[in-house]
Amino acid sequence: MLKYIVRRFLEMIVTLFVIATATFFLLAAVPGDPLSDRVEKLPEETRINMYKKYGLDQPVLQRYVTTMKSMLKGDFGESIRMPGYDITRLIRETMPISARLGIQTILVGVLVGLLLGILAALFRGSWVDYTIMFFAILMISVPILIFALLLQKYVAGDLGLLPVIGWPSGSEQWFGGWEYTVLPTLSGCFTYIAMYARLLKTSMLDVVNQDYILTARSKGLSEPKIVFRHLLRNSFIPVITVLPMSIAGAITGSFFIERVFSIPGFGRYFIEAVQARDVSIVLGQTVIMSAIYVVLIFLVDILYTLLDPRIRLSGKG
Amino acid sequence: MKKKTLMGALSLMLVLLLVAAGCGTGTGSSTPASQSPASSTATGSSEASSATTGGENLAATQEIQLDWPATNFYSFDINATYCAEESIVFSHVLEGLFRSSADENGKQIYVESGCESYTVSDDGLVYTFKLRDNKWSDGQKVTAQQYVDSFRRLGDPRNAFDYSYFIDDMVGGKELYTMSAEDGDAAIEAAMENLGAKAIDDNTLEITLHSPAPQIISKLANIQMFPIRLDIIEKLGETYASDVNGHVFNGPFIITNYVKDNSMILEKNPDYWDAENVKLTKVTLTNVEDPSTEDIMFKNGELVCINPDGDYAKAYRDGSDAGDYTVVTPASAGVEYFFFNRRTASPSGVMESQKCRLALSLAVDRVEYTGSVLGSDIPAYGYVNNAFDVGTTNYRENVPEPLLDLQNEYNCDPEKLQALFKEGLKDLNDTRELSDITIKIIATGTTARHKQKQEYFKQIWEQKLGVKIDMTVFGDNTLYREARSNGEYDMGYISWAGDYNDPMTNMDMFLTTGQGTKFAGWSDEGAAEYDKLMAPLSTTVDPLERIKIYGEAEKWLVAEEVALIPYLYTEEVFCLNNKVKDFKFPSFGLRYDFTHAYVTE
Repeated sequence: MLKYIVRRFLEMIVTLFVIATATFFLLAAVPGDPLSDRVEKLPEETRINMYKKYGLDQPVLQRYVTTMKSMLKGDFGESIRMPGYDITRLIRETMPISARLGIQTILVGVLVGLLLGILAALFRGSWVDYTIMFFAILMISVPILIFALLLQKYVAGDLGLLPVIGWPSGSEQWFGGWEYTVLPTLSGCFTYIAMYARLLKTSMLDVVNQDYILTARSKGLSEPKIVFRHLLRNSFIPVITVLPMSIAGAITGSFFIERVFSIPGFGRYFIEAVQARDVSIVLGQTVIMSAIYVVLIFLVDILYTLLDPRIRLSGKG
Repeated sequence: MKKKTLMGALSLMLVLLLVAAGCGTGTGSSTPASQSPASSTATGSSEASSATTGGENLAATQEIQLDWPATNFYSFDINATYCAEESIVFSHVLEGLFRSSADENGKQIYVESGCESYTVSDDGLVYTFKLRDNKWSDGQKVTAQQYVDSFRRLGDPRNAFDYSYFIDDMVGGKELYTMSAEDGDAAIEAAMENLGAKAIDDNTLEITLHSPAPQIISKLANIQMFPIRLDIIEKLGETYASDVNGHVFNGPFIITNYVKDNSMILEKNPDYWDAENVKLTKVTLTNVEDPSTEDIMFKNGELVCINPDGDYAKAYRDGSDAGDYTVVTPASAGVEYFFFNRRTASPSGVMESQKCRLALSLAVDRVEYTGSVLGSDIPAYGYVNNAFDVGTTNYRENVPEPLLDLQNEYNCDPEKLQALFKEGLKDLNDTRELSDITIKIIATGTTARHKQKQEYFKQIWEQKLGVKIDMTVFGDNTLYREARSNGEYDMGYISWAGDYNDPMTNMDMFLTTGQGTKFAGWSDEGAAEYDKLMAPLSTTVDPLERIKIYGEAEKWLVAEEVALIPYLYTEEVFCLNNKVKDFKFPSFGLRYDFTHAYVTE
């Protein structure tokens, strides 16, 4: 087990290095640089001075070496678009906000989704199943943005039940100010509800036809025991496989939801930094996102063995 | 053992589900700090307030909330800033010599704020400003030297600030900002010493120009030219630009809370010299990005002023009769125009012909485009909008738009236009038929409005001139610039907003020292000729004389040389809640001036 963990850890480091290198060169290959937007109105001399200031007058390879060196020390470099900000500060200030929204969304979305999935599977072919699956398809097809705007217009605007925009801050950052979080959480969770309901239902239907369920039935086990001990446990493998992606995606923020509800989260920076070719921020984001994924996937691999003893971890291939 | 683990996991999930359900329905009792109920200001208090202004009852709570694109707020270093959203904040928490505002009729004015009065020497070269007694929020006095420090720091090539060229008019200004950071500290500091700005005493500031430039007043109203505190800059070090903590203010308001890219709270500065005339106690600036959200919040009174565009702007104009809000359209400072590639061999090969360029310009039915196609903005037959003044004399009132007569003469008639275009081809010894000519236009922007524009111009030129138009649209700005700098185009378009109130902010684009040669395809020969037309300005003080010179130059650019095709003056639409009074909309420098605004019941 220990050998396995050490090996996986080393693999993670290599993965992150490859990702950082690839991101750097991809960014360098795309035409344009973080300053080109700003400098076009400026006199030539000012322009040259600005490029020098940010080291953008250096050849790509030299910039790569400089970037990698400082990255090893944990310094991703200052943002060009936002002076005084680096990825660490950005994450410190915005990540907790996105993380709270993400955790709430995932909890509601995944749990409700799983419950609905179980119901749909247990009552397969009945109106319960059809209703759940109909709404699941609807929720998957309609973009999050539409849900957010509709909820905001009717619940907050016309009915005035909840605040239109805003997010708790200060001492209420993690607990409190719940009324501000209701609509964003709801808007975001529909996708997860639909996804997990369908996933679990499909998976349960696969399992229910397996011989060991038949065996369990013929042994005379009670229905709840069959469902919990055999059916659910074996159906959870695909759920566990996609869960880390959902979690990593959710806690790093949603561009649309944060935008509609004016939530000062992390989501927007993914898009803005790339558009602005803000190299240090893009690199930082990519490496940190990748790190979150890699760690979560690692945890999931360990979870597999708990769910299904047939899956074994080993230090070998 | 295994079973326990699973059941444990399941029961944990159940607990979490309960907690999550709690999240879904629970309502907290307290109000989060980032979102205080600013709506109370608009709904007003039912209590009669004793304070009145001109017969109106002041609301008990003098607080407003505004939509503010906080994502464009990059820096707390005023010399370094370059965006309109920064200007709105700094113009209200800091004070320079002048404040950009508007009079009762909505006309652009520059209010003497940091300076009490000023004098100009007869040759128009020496400006002497007498400063008001005002304090920073830490109790220190605002001094003339702090202005000098600011100008020098702005021009310092080691800082590489975007707006360093604002000191261009001052003696030694150009020499300073065009230096290289590698010229050495000693040389740069010597150049900073030589800059034509001097503190005669604590309250007297003298600025010396190399040639008359009345636009210096409107430049001084820009935040990049506001006074700075070198001691604070040194003390805060790296966090000066990025963090509001530790900053001091000398304006009508102070910043009390800032959430990056989200919101900011300004509160009244009790130590401001004119504090008794500042009635708002709190202004919340919130980033509301979606127009539909903005619409909800404006209608329920949470936002008091919005800046809608596109279909929303139209709907607000149509709905303004109800009397809840007023639609304001300040005199415009923005212009949109097409430019030609005159630097490289253009793909079509016809851009060198003045007649072809003129035919393209006259083919555009500007009234149809702004009227029935866009339903917004103002048709442009010139390059300088109606907002511009020279000194205090309006430019457009004295200079007719250069394209008007020509446009009337041709009246967008395809026959006449095609004849003109063919003459142009003849001059170039080009024997092609009109239908064999393809003009390549590069563009960016994929919004509905951009698409409308791209389709309109393609259609109009193909219809009226019989040429083919290849409209290449780039999804990404950077790719577009790449194509432009490689000269892979015949024409492109641009939206330009003046930085300060003088035609120069538009006109200097086409000078040899301007940026037109760098990114608007303008040729060096054209620039040299244009330089000659503009040269007399350097010795002319009288506003009417200057207007005449600008007028000739504009006519040459637009109607004679045809260096560009202006087609519309942009028009900003603002909606202001009728309970809010004395809220001003300047055309230059900043969008809002709410220094003296107040809320009525």
